[in-house]
Amino acid sequence: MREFEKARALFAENRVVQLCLGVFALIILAALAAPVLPLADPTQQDLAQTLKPPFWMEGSSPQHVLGTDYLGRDLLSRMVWGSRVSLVVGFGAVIVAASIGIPLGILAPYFGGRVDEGIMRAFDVVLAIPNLLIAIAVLLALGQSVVILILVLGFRSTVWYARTLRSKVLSIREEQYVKAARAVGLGHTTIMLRHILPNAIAPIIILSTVYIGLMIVIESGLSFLGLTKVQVSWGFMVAESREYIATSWWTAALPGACIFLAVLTINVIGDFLRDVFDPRLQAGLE
Amino acid sequence: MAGYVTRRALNIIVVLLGMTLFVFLLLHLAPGSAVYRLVGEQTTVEQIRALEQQFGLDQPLPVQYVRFVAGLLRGDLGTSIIYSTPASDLMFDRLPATIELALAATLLTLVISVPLGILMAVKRGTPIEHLGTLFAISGVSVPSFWLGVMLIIIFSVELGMFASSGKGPPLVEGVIDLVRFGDPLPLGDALRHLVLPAITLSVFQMAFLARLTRSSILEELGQNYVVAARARGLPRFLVITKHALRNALLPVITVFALELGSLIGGAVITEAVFAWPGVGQLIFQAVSGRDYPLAQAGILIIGTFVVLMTFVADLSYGLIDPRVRYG
Repeated sequence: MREFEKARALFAENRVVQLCLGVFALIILAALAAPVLPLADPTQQDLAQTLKPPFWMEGSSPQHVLGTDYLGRDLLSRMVWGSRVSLVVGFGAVIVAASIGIPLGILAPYFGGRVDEGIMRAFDVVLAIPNLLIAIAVLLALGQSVVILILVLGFRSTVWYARTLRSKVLSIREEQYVKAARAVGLGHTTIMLRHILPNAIAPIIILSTVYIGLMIVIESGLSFLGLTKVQVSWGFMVAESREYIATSWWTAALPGACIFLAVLTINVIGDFLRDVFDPRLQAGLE
Repeated sequence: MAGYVTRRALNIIVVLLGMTLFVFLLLHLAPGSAVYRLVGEQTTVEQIRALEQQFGLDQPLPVQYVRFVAGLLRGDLGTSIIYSTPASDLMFDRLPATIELALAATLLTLVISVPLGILMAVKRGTPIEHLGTLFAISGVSVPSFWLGVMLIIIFSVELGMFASSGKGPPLVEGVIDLVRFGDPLPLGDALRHLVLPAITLSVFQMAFLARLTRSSILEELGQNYVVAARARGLPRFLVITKHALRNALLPVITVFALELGSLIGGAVITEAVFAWPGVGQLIFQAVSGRDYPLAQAGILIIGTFVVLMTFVADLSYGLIDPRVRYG
């Protein structure tokens, strides 16, 4: 496709995007390699070594490069291990959303009618409750598990996949080549898979990139509120360290900076893709 | 216009009913006894049976749902487990603080995002635009709880400029005291507590709307009527302010209204960070204490608020743009 050629050329000359892609890839690599990296045990307490500062400050400890938290646990190790929940929720929710939202967003408007209407009304209801609050309600009622969190965030984001695709499908359906395909006797499935889906791929990729970042922000917020019951996560690390910020600011600053960095880099990549594929598209960012 | 209002109002009733059904089903279809979620876990089997009768939980689900909605219409939002008080009383006590914070954040968002967006569009390709872009993309990427903690570290722990938690007197009272008695202290106290939470709550929307304003204006500037106005010799400044801006702000207003929902939703986190005594902090307490009825009440109140705001936005949009009314 010509668009992908264009993307490659623009990527080759855009240093900022290259850097961001590199950083984000590094975060994923570190998360995957956490078990084999030479890191301290992220849950190992050492009450003789609590609140040690990172290496560039006075009084740092050589065993703990980025310092320790209020229980003497190694911050670097906790930050590497803590990335896993965020990434699993970010990618997991987007995969759930895409795998329901894409078929729904193509099938419903393609055939139109009452079902399509009904689905749009149901979406209005879902959108009335903010993301964070839906997640809070469901986690409280059904129990705090990462799987449930992925499903809730995924289901709610389905709406944006379906809506983005819907507008695309409605316009493509009227194109000459689709009508021609029907006229020569191609089936609905073939038309949807061969003609409509490939044309809708660019907005799906852009939406997914933006949503991975958004989901990471929401997951870390819920972890901060203590709602995910995961002991080693970026959000919960910030929450645990809040009482100690007056003396040991880094215990809260560093894990939060990880979230910021992960989301910032993926958003820059998403922005780049948006500029390349469709400058007019405003992805459904909430 | 009347037909448009009626259509929108009917739509809203459907959405509100859908929301109550969602919250209701969540409580009743979840595995385990709903009694646990309504009264907490310190109960015996006999007590559960008794409580199920007392709450009508032995009735068929449709009957329970109708009762639930009827209760909501009477203002009965259930009873808080941790406070043993009607959840509605607790919520409405906290509402003014949340409204104050949300209004301050909204004001901050509008005052900064729209002018910044215009500036970025007008100064396209200059360092000003690059700086603005950097702010905009950082603003949509930063987790608000961390931003709040960082603001506390810098401006309250290190510089001592602002309070790190709690709330001063209501802002309105502060203004009245200043105007009436010439006493600046209450206003100063109110601001000392309000500024950091308001920034924390508004940064995402601020950045998001600045980007939207920028792209919306750039799109208008390429339109024929703008080119024609410039060709007739109108100064660039006048063309932007009088012609392009008016059209460019339409999508900004719509999106802003939709964004109010997530802004209010974000209050849960911001209020938790700054111990701001509003609805959000109450929901946070409900979450920490596994107080399902209280959390449910908060979610219903905020959800209703979001739906009503969207309604108001739709109506004002209809007033600004005549095409919408007949659509």
